[in-house]
Amino acid sequence: MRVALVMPLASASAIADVTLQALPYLKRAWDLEIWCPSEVGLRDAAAPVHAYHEADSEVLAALEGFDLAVYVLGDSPWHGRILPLARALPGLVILHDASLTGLVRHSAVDRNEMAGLVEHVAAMYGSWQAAVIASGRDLDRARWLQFCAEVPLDDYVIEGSLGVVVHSRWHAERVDGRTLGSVTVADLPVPTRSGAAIDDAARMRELLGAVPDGDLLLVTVGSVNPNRHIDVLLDAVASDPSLASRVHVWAVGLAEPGDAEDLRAHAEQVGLADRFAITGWVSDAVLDGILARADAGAALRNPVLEGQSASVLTQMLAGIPVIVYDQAHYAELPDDAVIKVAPAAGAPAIAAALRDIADGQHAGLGARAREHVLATRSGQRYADAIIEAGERALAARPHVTMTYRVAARLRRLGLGDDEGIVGRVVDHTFELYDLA
Amino acid sequence: MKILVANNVAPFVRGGAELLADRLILELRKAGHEAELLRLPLGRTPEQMLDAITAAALLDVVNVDRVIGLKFPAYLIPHPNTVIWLVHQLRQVYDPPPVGWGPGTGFSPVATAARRADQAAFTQARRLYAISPMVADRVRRTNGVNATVLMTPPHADQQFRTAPPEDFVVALGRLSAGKRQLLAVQAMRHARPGYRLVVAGAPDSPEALAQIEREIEAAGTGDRVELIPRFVSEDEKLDLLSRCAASVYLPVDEDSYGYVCYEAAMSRKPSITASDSGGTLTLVHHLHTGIVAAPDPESVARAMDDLVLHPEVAREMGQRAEQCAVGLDLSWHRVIRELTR
Repeated sequence: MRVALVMPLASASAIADVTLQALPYLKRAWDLEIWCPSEVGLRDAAAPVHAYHEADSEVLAALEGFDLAVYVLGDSPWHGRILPLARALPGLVILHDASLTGLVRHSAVDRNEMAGLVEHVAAMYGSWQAAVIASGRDLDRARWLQFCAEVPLDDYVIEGSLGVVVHSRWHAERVDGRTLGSVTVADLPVPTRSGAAIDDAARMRELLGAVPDGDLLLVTVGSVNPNRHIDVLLDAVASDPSLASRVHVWAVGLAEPGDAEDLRAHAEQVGLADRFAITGWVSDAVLDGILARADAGAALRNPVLEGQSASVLTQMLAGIPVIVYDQAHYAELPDDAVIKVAPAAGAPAIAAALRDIADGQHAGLGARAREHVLATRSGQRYADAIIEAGERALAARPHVTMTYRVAARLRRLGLGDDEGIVGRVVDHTFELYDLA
Repeated sequence: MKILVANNVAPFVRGGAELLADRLILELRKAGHEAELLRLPLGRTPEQMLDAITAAALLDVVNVDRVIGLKFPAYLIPHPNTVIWLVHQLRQVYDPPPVGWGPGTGFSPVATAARRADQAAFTQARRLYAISPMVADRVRRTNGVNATVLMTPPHADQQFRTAPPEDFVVALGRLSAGKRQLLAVQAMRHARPGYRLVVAGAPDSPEALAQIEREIEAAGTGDRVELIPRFVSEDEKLDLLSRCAASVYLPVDEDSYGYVCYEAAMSRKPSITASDSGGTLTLVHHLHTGIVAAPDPESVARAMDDLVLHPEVAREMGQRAEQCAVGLDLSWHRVIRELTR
C-alpha cells in the first residue's frame, strides 16, 4: 500500500521526533513517502522526502495518487501547511493535541478563510466564541487557554477524515463521533535525546550549583504556560515551612516574558524568590542532567490542551516521582506510577504529596514510572497502532465517499447543514451500514 | 426534447394535480416531445416528509433534457434545466393555522427544510411559472421570487352547452371541508322558496358526507337539497351545468381559478363564490360574471336568491363569464409553448 505521511520535519518539532521513531516499522508495512512543509534545517528521514512550499493543488494532486494520506497534526505553526491538505483530501489524522484552536485560526488567517471559520464556530460553539475567533486573542493568556479548551476546533480539523489516531483514551472519547472513520488510541513514544553539546556541561554546572546538597529539586518540564499551574506549585511549597526551607522549584522550559514576570512576582510574594527558577530553553543533555538531579516532578495541567503529555512521560522515564492532576489523560497513568491529586484539592493536597516524597514514602514510585514508560512506549508499538488505524481508514473510505456524495447533493438544495434532513440521513446511514 | 414531468403522489388519491400532470404529458407528446411522468411521495409524518425532501434532493436525473416540476417535493429534483410550473408549495409551511402547522406540532424541522429547499429550487429553476395569480402572489410573499402566471387549461376537451335555467343551483366538486359545500347547504336554511340546491361529487371522507347529511336533517331541507354523493361523469356534470340557474363554488383560499367556475362560465352560467375563496376571483367578478358573497350562510343564500329569482341578470352574467373564461386563453398550445421554450 502506498502511503503519504504528511508531517513536519522541522528539527525543533517534538512531534516530528516521535513520528520518526515509528518510521522504520511503518516502512515494513507500507510503501511510504514523507511529504513535509519546507523548512530550513529539516531532519533526516529514512524514506523519500518531498518538501513542499505551499499546500496547493499540485501537492493535493500528488497526494491523491496514494492509497492513503496520513496527516500528523498538532497545535503549532509546524502544522500550518498540513491542515489545509487534511481538510481537502480525506485521510487518517494523527492528532497530538486536544485543542487545535491556534493552528486552525492561524491557518484560516493565512489562507483568507476566516469567514468560513467564524461561521463554523458560530454554528458549533456560539456567537461570542465566533467573535473571539474573529478578533484573535482579545483575552489574557489564562483566559485564552481556557477558551482553547472550550473551543478546541478539533471538529473542524477532522471533519470528513477517514479516521483519527490519538494518544489517550480521554482524547479518544472527545473526538469519537467526529470522524467518519474509527478512532485509534496509540501509545505515544517518549521524545528522543540528541547528544550533548560542548557548552552543556558548563550550563548544567551553573544551573545545578544553585541547589545545595540535601535540598529537594522539584521540576516541571515544558513551556511555561499559565495552565501548568506553577503558581499553585509555589503556593504548595510556601504553605509548609518544612518544604519552603528545602524545596527548589524549577520551571524547565521557555516562558513568555509576561508569564515569567508574573511567576517571579508570585514566587517573591510567597517568599520563594531565591528558590524558584525559570531555566528557559535547555538542551536535551542539560535536561537530562536536571532530571537526574531532580527529586520530584510535576505536571499540573489545567485546562488540558494536549492529547498526551510528552513532558510527563519524559519525567517518568527519568525515574522520579511525578505529581499530576487526576484528570484527562493523566488519570489514565497507573496509580502506582504517579501521584494523582484532584485539581480542586489545590495547593494543600500538592503540599501533602510533596511532604510524602520528602519523607521517602514514595520510594520505588520513580522506578515503577520508568518501568511503565519503558514497557509501553516504543516506536514499534506506536507504528503498530498507526498501521492498524490505516487499515481501518481504508475500510471507512466507502462510507466517507458516500457521505461526501450525499452531502454534495443535499447542498444543491441548500440542505447540507439542515438539522432535520442531516439527522434523517444519518439515521438511515447508521441503519443501512450497521454503524451504531 | 426528453422531458420529465415531476409530480408528487399520495397513493390512491387522485385529484386535479394528477389530471393536470396526465394531460400535460399527453400535450407534450402531441407537440413532438418525449415525456415521462415521475411521481414522488410526500408522506404524512415529519420523518416521512423529511425523507421525501431528501429523496428529491438526492435524485440524479439522467437522460433528461428538461424537468418540469409541479408539486412539492417533486419540483425539488435538481437538474440544470428545470422549469417549475408551480401548482402549489407545501402550504402547511407557509400558511397560518388551520392550513399551516401550528407551533408544537413536531413539523418545524420539515418547515425549515422545506423553506430552504424551496428557496434553492425556485432560484435555480430556469423559469418559474405559477398556475394562478394566487400562487404567484404567495411565492412572491413567502420566497421573494417572481413567478409568471400560466394558468392551467381544463383537463378534458369538453363540449359545453347551455340550456334554459331550471329551478336549481348546482354545487360541484369533491365533497370536502376545503371545498365547503356544507356552507352552501347551510345557506338553504335562509334561501327563499322555489328552487333547490344540487350537491354532486364524491366525498373525500365519510365525515365530509356525514356533516352535510346531518345539516340537511337538522335544517329539514331534505326536500330542497339533492345530494349526489358519488363521482359524477363528464356528461352528468355538463348536463347539470347546462340546466342550472347558477353554480356555487365556495372553496377556502383556492390556489387555482377553480375548474368548477371555469366550467360554469363555459356553460354560460354565473358562479357564486366566497370572498375568501382565493383564485376563484379570477373568473368570478362581483355582479359582472357572478356574485362574490361573504362566507356565511345568509350571504350565500342572498346570492343564490338573486341569481335564481332574476334569470335575465343571471343570463347576462353567464354570457360575460364565458367571455372572461375565453379571454384567459387557457389553451394547451400556449402552456406547452411556454414550458418548452
